[in-house]
Amino acid sequence: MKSAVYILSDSVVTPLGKSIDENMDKLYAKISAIQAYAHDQMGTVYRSKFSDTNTFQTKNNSAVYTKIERLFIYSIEQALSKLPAVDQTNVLFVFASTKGNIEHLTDAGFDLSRLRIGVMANQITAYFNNPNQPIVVSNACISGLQAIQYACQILQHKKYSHVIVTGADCVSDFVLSGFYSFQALSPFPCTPFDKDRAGVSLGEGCGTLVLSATPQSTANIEIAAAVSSNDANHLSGPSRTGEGLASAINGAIREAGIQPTDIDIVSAHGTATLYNDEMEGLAFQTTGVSAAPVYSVKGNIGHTLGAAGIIETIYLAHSMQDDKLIPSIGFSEIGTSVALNVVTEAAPKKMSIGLKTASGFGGGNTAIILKKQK
Amino acid sequence: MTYIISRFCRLHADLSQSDSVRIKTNTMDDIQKNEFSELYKRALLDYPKYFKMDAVSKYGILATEYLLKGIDLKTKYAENEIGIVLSNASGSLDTDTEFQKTINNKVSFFPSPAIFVYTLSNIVMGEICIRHKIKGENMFFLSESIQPELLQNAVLDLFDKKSIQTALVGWVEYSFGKPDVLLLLVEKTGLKVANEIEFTSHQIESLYPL
Repeated sequence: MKSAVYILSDSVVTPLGKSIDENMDKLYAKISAIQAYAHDQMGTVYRSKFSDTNTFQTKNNSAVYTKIERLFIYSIEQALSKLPAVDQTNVLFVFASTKGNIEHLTDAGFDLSRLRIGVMANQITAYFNNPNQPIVVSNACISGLQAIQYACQILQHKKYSHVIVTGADCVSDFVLSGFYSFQALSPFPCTPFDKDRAGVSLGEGCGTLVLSATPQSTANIEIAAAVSSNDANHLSGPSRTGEGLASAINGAIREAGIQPTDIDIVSAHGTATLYNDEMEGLAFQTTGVSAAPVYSVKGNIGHTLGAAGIIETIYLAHSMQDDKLIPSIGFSEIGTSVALNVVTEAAPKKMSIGLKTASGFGGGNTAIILKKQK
Repeated sequence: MTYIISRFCRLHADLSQSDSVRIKTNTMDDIQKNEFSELYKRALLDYPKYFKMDAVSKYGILATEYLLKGIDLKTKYAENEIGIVLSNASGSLDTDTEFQKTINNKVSFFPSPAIFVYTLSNIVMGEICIRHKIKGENMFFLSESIQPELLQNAVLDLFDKKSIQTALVGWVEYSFGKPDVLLLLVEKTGLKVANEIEFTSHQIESLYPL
């Protein structure tokens, strides 16, 4: 990237915790938010979902917003509260979501235009009195990382002082039953990279990043590269060879101007499906990063779909700042053909360069590289 | 370096005849019956997978077929140098409604994986990538109407990063039986010649109402 892009502030709101500190403490302590849910037709499935008492009331007009809209607002307010006031005229919002308000599809009386994520985004930026047309990225499970990629690109033009990248998705019967129909749901809380892994657990949450090309004294994590690719192979399954993901990782390594062996830590997509984790192992091997410690947080918060890339980038940034590894819960024995160095304990480790990856339905892959300032 | 729209395809529900679509490219302008097997035949498509797709994917595949007729991008570019940047307003809402029907009824609860796979905005892009082996940068945006400036800037940024050498760019919207598609092929050229269309937001805007 020509001009470096810095993380000025962030917020993560998941069933694991409503602040980033609470999230990090529970990740290090190997706590999972995934719970059993008994569905009349699907039987027992596992997912990470906010309790009904978590309503995320907004300061103004709470009643007009849906759960996901309030979640967005709550997380954005939290991220902004950590910064001196910013002039909204110079701020661009970039949203990531795969399904937005989908749980309201069958609600009688619900304004159906709000099922369009662009309309939902407009409502949220209006809450913040932001005058700029928001950007919405919706590219399945890579939405979050691509929203960060887009933000980095737009910040090169110096048109905006800050870009707020925010991503959320909620667990609904719509999405659960879809993954159920694919027989992709794990019959126990998901176990990424483990030999007995048996599928994904879904999760909900929101992550928000405030990015800028102008560093602040407190900002010490830089987004050094963000590159995407497409497998052009299959809609609902990853390429068997990992070629597409490898292409994105190689592109990101080039863009960051580093060597594969410079990467200290890999935050994998790690959905715990047989094919995804196997494919990732192959891609990590091809690109020469498979010796680095690798982990997935899907065992803690499930797969948060469009939010995953943002939430997991924030986790990675904090783990690098703390110089402490995030353990991959549910993992006991390697279950990929490539031997990976999966993290099992929250041990201290000096980390300067981190890789975050994601792959999704429709064949997309994105790789992002974070650098910690010395 | 100049970027040109070397090809375009506009495909949209015809306003004067409600059961027709108008298809316009650099070289043709045609009105056809809005019927999927008829459109398939007229496009001389040989891709049976088309019949399994949802409506927005079918229209996306059809428009791409017209856009790329007679050229093979792979002879000019490496697969991962070909990018694609698409957008629409409704995402996959039409198919979302179809999928919802399979889970509404608690007695005959039977969610269909064949439908569910199409309940994501970007699947039309995935189908186009598979058909034409497009393996480079791929982005999908949602906006209430076509945003020429967003498309122009997002694509030029990818060229700037040297991530891509060519790109398919455009708008693939489908709602309530009506397709609304504009696809562009954007390429680099050393020196623009007189009849070439420069890749600018203004030109995107002028191709859209055709």
